[in-house]
Amino acid sequence: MPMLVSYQWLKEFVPVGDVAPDELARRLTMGGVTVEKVIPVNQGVRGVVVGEVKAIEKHPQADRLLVTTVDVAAADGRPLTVVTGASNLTVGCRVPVAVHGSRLPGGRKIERSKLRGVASGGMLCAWTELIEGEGHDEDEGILILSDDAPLGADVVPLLGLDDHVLELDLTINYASHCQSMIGVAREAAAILDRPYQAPRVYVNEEGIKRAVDLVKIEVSDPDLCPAYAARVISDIRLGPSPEWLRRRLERAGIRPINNIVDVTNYVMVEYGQPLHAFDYDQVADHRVIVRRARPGEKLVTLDGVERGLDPDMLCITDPEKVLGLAGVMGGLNSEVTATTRNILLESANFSGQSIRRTSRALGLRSEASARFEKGLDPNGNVPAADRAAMLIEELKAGVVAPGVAEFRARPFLPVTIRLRPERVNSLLGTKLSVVDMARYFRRLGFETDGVAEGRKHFTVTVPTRRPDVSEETDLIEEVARLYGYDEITTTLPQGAITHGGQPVLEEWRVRARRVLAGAGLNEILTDSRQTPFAHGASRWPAPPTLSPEQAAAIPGGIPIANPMTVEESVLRSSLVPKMLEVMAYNVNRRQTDLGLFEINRVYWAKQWPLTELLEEPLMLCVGAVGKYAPKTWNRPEEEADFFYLKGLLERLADGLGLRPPRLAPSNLETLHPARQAAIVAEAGEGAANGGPSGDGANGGAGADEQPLGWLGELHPQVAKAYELPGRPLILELNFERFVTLSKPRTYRALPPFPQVERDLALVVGEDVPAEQVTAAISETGGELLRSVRLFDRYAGAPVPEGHVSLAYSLVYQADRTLTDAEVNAVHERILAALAKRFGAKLRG
Amino acid sequence: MREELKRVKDEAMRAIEATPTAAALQELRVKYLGKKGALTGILRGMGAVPADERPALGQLANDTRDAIEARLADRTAALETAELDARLRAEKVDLTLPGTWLPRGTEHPMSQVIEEIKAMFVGLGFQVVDGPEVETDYYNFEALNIPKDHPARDTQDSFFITPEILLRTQTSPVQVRTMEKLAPRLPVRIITIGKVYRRDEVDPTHGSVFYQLEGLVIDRDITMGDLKGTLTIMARSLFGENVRIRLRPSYFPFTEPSAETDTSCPVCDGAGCRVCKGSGWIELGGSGMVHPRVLVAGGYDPEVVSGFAWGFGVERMTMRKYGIEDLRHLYSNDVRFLRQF
Repeated sequence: MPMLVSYQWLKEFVPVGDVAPDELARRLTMGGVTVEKVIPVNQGVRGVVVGEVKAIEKHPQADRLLVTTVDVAAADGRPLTVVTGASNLTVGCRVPVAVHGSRLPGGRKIERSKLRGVASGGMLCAWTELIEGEGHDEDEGILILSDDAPLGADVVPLLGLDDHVLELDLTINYASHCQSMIGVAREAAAILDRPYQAPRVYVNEEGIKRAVDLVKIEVSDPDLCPAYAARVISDIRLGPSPEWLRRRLERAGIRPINNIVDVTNYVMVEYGQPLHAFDYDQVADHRVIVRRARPGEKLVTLDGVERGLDPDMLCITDPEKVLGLAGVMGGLNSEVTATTRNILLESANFSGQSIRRTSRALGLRSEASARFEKGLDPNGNVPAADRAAMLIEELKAGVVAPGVAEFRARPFLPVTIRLRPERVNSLLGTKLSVVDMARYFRRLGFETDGVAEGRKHFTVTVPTRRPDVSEETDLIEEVARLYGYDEITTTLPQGAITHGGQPVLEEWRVRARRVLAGAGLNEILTDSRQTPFAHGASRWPAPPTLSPEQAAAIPGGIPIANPMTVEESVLRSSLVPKMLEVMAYNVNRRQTDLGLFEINRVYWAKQWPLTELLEEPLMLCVGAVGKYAPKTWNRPEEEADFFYLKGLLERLADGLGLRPPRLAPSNLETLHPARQAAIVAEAGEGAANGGPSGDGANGGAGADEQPLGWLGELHPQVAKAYELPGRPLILELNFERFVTLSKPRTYRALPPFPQVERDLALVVGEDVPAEQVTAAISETGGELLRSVRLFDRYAGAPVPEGHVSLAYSLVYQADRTLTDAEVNAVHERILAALAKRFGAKLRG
Repeated sequence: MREELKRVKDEAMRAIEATPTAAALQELRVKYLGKKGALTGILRGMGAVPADERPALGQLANDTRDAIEARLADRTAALETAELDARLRAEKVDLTLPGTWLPRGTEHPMSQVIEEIKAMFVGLGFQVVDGPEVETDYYNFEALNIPKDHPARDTQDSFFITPEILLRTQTSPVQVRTMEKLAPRLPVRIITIGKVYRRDEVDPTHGSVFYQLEGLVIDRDITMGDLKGTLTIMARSLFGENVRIRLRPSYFPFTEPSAETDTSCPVCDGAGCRVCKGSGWIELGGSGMVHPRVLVAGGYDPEVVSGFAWGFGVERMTMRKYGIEDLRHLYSNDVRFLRQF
């Protein structure tokens, strides 16, 4: 419920007539009262004038239509004939007439026309036709203007359609005092440095008995109700409010109802103080008791809903029953109705927190509760009651009993704050004088004392309507905004020079991103939250921080107690499920060749239920499917497979300058049982600090070492669950542990002697792991062998069944020129060793 | 013999001119200058020449050989050049065929903007720091001058794990954690960038999770002018040399004075256009002078030091930079989107 401020209404309190609404909005915004938008009330009415109905006749062709003769003081002196369907017209009444060529909201153009054979020179207008969205629903007919509306005059100024409404977007500190016309007017006066004119209030009290004799106020919970005032008004004459009052309520976004309710709403908008009118004769014993609800008590509120109350809710009651929910909504049992003869007008101050809790508990918000929630001026209730009484009397809607029946928990005194001018200038970087500062406070209506140049401090007394100003720093802000944030000189921090930098892990992350993007992968960024089912669907292992029992208690991840949707209801423990979802998302959009990665946090509870904060390790995830290189006119396509993924891992390790991790057998359910591996650090290396529940079967080098991660081809069942075609690949590793494998880059002088290259083609059993053969070659080759590269692997004729041919390229190098004899000797040794260990034969 | 030499020379010269290929020239060389060649044959008859004529004849024979050699070399070079030219001409390719495909991946636009921001602040002497995304109520609210029941908690509706542990609603808890670590050392110049979570309805400019850039400077004599200056440098580095910073009064419990921070629209320079929705300004986020109570919570004495802080949405800055109209594109992870960066 944003505060809506009528520009015309505001002018009553502060002279801003020379400041256009848009400019006023800008100045207010820059002064701290944020104006979200300026809405012109006139949505396109042009050329509609005041006319007087001179004659009304029946339409000859249509029962429901009338033919009227209307005098619009036209230049030619001739009246218009206008056909209308309205039934509320009388001869002599004055109405808005949209003459030929005039315009109505939404660009609607009015022209002469024929209605069932009768020429019509225009249209008589209802209120809803002149202004959209403001319904006067109890009188659907043509808008009847006052008899003194000048004939032929433009209705736009007459009806106040030339007004503008400023929609405010108030910050919490202004919400209290700017939820009212006079509050905004005070701000406008301070910001524009103009005088503020308060409403003049004089209550004509003609009742016989005094309010204090007519009603007793008892407050049993003064902490929730610091102040309560009641006026009693007799001889109520319920009826519609006058046009000006209704119009102002409409501008404020409130629907007019009847004169009594309208006055309470009018004063609420004007003063910011919600009021409530009870049917005085429905209050038993004429005793108002403000207390907490009793367990099990119920109330049917004005909207007709029965509400169950609890002792946290403050109620307005009489000795017999609950009359209303304090500050939120009145009860149906004491509603002002057509038969009401006397009213009790309540103007109270309730604790904002209490109202907020009650309103939330019941899911019931009203204009009143929205204002109370912000905390109101405890001294503001009596003036508002007076203002309402004055208006009711002026509208001849009732007779006001003298005086106010009142409860006040204690006197509410303004706060006096000490301000150090030097402090203001040193915090803002300004050079304001003491007198300048004092002047700003006087513009705000704050009193100052001890103001003199050279004084170390002076005091400022802040009225109770500004609860947001309670300490020195608040006063400094008031100076800053009235001086103008724009006026503050731009400078740069002085002081010691510091060296900037970022955490080492962030540096690694930047480099890893570069390596993977360089290898052709696209980085994705996903939400940390997912459905509780996502983890199960991916079959990925539970976080290593939890025991199996604890992990089983939260199988989907760490649950959020109050999620907005089930899709965002748990914190993930792995990047894998979202990666699979993103792959599926893209595949569904016919993007079937994907290479994606994400480096992001996951969330591991250290125990469950949670007693301390989480571990939030940084993980790296790769997902790929389809071709990583497309078929082009000069190159064949390349399909991503297990070795592509392994190659990426090796490239990543190399690109980051890490010792290459080792792959070990694993048995994750997520992955193809024969095409998966755990990623482990070489024994004895830096990353051997895994979680407690590390599981040897899943690739641990030691019994309780958690692998760095896993990689492999997705299990076909998992791929099917995500509707992923082909052979998708997944890798996830603990990035924080991965980068502990770093080794310093070392330089080796380039050898001055030539290297010798030899190839070696072997035939071994197909079950012999290539890595072991390579290791045996390296080991046997010793010092002289500088590098070994497998460049071919072949099975099939002429290689015997059950065997494969492995072809290696070997490079020998020494600190001297190697002779053929030396190299041959080493080469022979290697062959012999391979023959012995693997039964390897030289391929003929 | 002189005639013999002249004849051989003339014949050789004609033959050289007539030979079409470099390979055939090689045969001519053998034919005339080889061991069994014509010239050698003539010179064998030198013994029969009177001794006093021998020097002159010898000279003539050498001149003849040199002349043939020179012509052979010239002709060989010319023919080789011509042959190379012909071969190269024959190796013509269709220059309009596409270049050989090489892999090119991309870093997420958010990552790129985050790196740019970090690099800029590191250059200004700021340390990048980190903090947990799942926070305690104390760091997310209490220490930031937002006690329980403070209305500001309504505007930052939170996701809770337990009543005391929640998904942080802002990066500001990192302010307090950092101060606790550093106090009483000065100056404090840090930024932190990370995810924050709020129970906001998702629309083109709001998500229930977003990245925030938080900054904090604490020292003696820090002023609100310093805040304006620092943010001006940031905005100019990201959006262009000419943008200006505007502060509007606002409210945050952990700063006072508080401000909404705008930059002039880099597209229209403040005149008002479609990008800035006609206002001439684009909102970056909140900023202000650190509230004394927050300084105290972090272990600093507000009577001795002062500071400023800000918290901006990184999505909005990224959208601004690339002209992305809907925040949700940033998290769609559609490769057709990602490959554009």
